[in-house]
Amino acid sequence: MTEKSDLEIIESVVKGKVNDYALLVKRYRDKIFRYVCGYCGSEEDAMEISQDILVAAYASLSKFRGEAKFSTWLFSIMINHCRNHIRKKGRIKKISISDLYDDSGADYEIPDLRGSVEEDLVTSETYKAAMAELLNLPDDYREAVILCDVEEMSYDDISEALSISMSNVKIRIHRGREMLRKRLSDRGYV
Amino acid sequence: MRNEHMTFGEISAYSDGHKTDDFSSHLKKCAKCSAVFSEIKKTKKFTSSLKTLQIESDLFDAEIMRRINKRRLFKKRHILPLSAAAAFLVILFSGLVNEDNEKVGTDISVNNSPILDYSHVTDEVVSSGELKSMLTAGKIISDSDDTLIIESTYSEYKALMKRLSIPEENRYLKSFNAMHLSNDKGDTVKGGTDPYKRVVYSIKVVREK
Repeated sequence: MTEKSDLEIIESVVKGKVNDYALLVKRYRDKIFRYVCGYCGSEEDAMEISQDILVAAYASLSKFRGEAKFSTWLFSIMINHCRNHIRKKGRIKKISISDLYDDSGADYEIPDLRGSVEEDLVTSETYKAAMAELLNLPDDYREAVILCDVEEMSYDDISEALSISMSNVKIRIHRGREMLRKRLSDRGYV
Repeated sequence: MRNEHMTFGEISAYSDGHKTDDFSSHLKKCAKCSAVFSEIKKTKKFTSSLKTLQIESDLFDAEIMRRINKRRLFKKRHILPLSAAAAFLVILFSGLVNEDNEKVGTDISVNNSPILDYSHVTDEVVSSGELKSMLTAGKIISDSDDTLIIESTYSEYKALMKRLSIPEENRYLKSFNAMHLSNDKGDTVKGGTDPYKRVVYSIKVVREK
């Protein structure tokens, strides 16, 4: 059986089959969760914020006109939600990789990324370090880098989701990436 | 073929698939640009490690659907006829008063278990009902006089301890789940704690009579 498209599910939800919304939740929850983790820097907060985003999207579902892709529309809600969260919470604490491993009592070693690019060695340590480094980027750059490198969105879709021009998308991604590369290079990771 | 070096932006865009023959042949011949290209690929690989993050529990979905259905119920109530709405407000108001009274009462839990008072370890006083609602991915597996044993994900354990401000000395994590991983050389290295692994832990409590 073929999977229902986003539009088919939305139509069904708007007509009253509310439980079909669970299909959209399942389809997008991980993508949202990853973005929120990268943007807000906390897995614990990210669970709650991701739920809020998906509930907020449901509440606005009848306003979805289908002019953009549903994923782009949903990501716009996600981006605004995260911005508001940071605004309400105040500036997020910037942390360095070396500060990451103090709270559990365990002694950690950060996986050595050098030479491992061709292999699929991605550990929880790597993504924690990535979350920490992303937090050190300016918000605008962080948004663009996560949408491009984690969500794998095209420049066009990022431009629409962030409501900025294509040239601004490129500037934000490249500058963000350059800052990250310098920081990682200083630490000998790349 | 292009003779001058590519800009960082050009190499970065190239790594995103915006390729031209000119750039491709330049990268093959220019060691400097090729080194930058390789660093960008490693940086992208580092950032994209976030792709491994997943929400494991279906309870996440269930909580969203619960909240959505609650909203719908509230909306339906809103469109009741005016007289019924007035009656509803009276009921709602009395409900709120009751809820308020219950908070200062002795027993507010759904399962008739008393209020859990963490006052000897923290300032928090929480009903067992509230505690259960904090556990979206966990459950209370044992509920004795002075100790609660809970099973949940590690990340929920951390969140709960933070929310209840329970210090380290008053919690006991029975099964710790440090991961053992291999690095690219095949050596075993100590890993972190998997936030999605389930753990069992106990908390000391004092029950308010």
